[in-house]
Amino acid sequence: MERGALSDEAFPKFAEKYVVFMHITTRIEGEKYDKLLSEKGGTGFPYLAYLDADGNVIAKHEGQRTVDGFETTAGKAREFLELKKKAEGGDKAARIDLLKKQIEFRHFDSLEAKKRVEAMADLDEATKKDLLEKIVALKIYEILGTITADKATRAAAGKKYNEMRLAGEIPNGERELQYFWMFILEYAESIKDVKLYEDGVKAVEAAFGAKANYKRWIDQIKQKLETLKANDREH
Amino acid sequence: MNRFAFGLAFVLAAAASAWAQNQPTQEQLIQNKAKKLAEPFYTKAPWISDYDKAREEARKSGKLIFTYFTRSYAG
Repeated sequence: MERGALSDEAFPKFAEKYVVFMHITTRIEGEKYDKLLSEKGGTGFPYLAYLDADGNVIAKHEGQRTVDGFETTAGKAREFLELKKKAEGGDKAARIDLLKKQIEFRHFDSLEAKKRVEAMADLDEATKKDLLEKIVALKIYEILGTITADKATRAAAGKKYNEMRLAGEIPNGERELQYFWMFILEYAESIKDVKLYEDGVKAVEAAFGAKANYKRWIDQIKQKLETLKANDREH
Repeated sequence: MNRFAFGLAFVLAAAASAWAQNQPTQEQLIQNKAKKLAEPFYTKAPWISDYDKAREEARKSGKLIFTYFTRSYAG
């Protein structure tokens, strides 16, 4: 990346048109904005996004990491700003599309997102369901963002995911579902809840069992389930 | 499936104990950040590394902020 697109001879020209901001996650104690990556929806490095002057994400770069690719994503950022204008002008479809993107880009937390969905009284059921599913995904990342190297935070996240499960808030995105069950399983193991662990294994198998690249994980959790059951029988 | 996501999931699962053993010191982390800011690519464009300044500049200029998120803690 740094020796590629960012060192490309076309990059300085590109950089004249935008404010080019490099955020470094440093893990230096007390460093301001050190968690900005997760706050802006990043889950790994490198992560590229366009922000507006308030710091809101308005487009995520997902294509080729080239200067041309960055320009394509800049077009999407401008489309977002157009959408915002239309929504502010009272266009109902634009208001809905804007809210979906704002939830996806985490312009507000899940509680505020829910309030905004509830405030849109004229939503049809399918649209409302779609928006609420996006809020569930948002909650997954909010909870994920609370996890640190401290093992207790992982169990706490698993507990919160389990509360979501009990409330019927099950994510439907593959990545979100993966985080969801992974931490519920860790939580179940930490509190030695064999039944919860077993339910989790079944859910993981149902969701991912047909995919070969999940086999290793599924084999591991099935093995762990047998160990938990054996330990449970001993006590 | 997103290979990265799966990788991250396992990294999260395994990282806690590894971190405890291999934590760089604060001094090393400060040095790592300085090293990042001295990379050749960084000097070839008007990069800003301060979030407040980037937003202020965007407000003044009316430009969008192109953001590159990277890390220095891994050296």
